[in-house]
Amino acid sequence: MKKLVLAASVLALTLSGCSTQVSYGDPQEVETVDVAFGSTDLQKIAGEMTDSMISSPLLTDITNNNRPIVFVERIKNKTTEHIDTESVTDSISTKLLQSGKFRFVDMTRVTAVREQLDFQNDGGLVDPSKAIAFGQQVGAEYMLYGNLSSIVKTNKKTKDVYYKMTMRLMDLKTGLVEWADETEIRKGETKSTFGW
Amino acid sequence: MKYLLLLTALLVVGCTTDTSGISADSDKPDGKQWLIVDNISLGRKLTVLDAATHQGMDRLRGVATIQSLFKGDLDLQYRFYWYDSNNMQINSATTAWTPLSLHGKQQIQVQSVALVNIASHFKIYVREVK
Repeated sequence: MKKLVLAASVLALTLSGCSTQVSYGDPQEVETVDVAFGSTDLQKIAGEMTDSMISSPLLTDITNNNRPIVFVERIKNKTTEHIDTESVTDSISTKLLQSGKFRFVDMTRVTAVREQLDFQNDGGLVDPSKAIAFGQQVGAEYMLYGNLSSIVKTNKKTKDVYYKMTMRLMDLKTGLVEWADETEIRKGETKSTFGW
Repeated sequence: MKYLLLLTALLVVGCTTDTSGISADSDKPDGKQWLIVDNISLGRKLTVLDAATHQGMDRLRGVATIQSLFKGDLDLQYRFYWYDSNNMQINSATTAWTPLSLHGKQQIQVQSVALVNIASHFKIYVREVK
């Protein structure tokens, strides 16, 4: 009888561990599900690049008494993975904007802006004296762009991934690169012979 | 019955993960309570030697030195939380948890720049990656 109770208890404990649970997690938590590019890598890159840009002595001259207008060109994804690089640039530009040291023009919304201005000026519904006229926008002075590359090495038990993100800020008038920085990430995955 | 209790205890212990760590505060007016060790086990393996702010061009730079007291590698994560002079947390300046690998007895300096100029001090939390 005792053995039966023991077996039933063990079974109950084991089965209770199989129920499905939904929970919220910390979005800033270090994520180690696999070695593919993840949220932690995105946050690390965005954080380091922002820190570098707002504290770089190279940019003192242009940010001291001025908030430069920047256009974010896309980050070229040279890795073998599909990575949403626009999400990386979005995080960086949001942080830089919050810092109050830079301003941005958004080239991804040019069509929508043109449609809105067309509506205001030619639609006949908006008071012409209050419609925003064409040709008043301010052009970007600098271009922020970059590359994300990776080196992947694997053998039977280990996978090693190295990511390198390079970013540059170019003066659109002179073509000079005023600032550049890079950040690196190394991730490893090892398969154990025993265990899960 | 004895085995059943032991098994239950083992299962319960096996399911509990200690996610606490060590925190250090750059604001230490009386020089006390600037380093808090919530995880004794981790506290034996590493320490934060100093946490201080330095005035950069127009933003504060937070610097903390993390030292391993352990022979092996440590997989850690750290996070900077920035506060204003009223001790209110500045969410836009607070960074994400950042992974950090420390080799045996290694000492490393980690830094963060306050995104906004109202920041006055920071707290750094260090804990293990589980």
